[in-house]
Amino acid sequence: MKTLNTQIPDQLYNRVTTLVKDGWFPDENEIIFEAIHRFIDSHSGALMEKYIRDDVEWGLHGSE
Amino acid sequence: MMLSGASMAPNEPLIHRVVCDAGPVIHLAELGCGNLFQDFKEVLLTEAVWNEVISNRPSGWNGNDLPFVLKPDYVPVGEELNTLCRVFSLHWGEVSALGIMEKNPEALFLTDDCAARLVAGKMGYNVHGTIGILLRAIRRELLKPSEVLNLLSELPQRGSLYIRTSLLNEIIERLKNRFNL
Repeated sequence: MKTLNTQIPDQLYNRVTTLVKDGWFPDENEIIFEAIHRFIDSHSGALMEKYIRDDVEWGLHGSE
Repeated sequence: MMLSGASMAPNEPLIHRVVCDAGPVIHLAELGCGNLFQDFKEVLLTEAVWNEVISNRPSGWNGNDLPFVLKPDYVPVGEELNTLCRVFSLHWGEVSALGIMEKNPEALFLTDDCAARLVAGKMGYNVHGTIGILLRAIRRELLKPSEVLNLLSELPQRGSLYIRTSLLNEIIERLKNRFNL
């Protein structure tokens, strides 16, 4: 396991702690882990590359 | 540049309505290409998107001469879209823009956010990004191929849109070959 030290805005942190206080997550670490996991899942390099290539095809040859 | 002010469009707009996320507005403004939006009859921006644009726009740029239509933020009501927005943890600007797409499914959705594009694609919307708009400008005779080539070459220095260097170079080479540049 790696340890990350980072800064997040107070407002965002307050939302994290509220989720923990309300019992939706066991602790703040779990939320950060889940958030990063979801972000990486939806921002894979292959997917981003596919979208750029789609844009090139549409831009040059698209029929609108 | 072939573009100049409000009289730039050489052809009638083929795409009338566009719903835009903040990314393409910011990225095209950074490249000095905000005028490409004039090729659309109306570009719908939610208040959340506009606020993001205002926070990140290049200094001095205001988009006053562009066909932007400001719309109130709108939460998607459809269960599938609403769920997808939450599953992919989309930001409020992206969610509100997709809410407008829900009401205008025939529109073109512009975003550079991978997750927002994923959701839009799953909903069957026509979706593209900044690179598509730049290259489309050649097809629409709004910019010369050489101008777009220069813009792509300057992208890493002038813009905040990040594209893997090797992919960007591949696109540049393709343009050079395609247009004998």
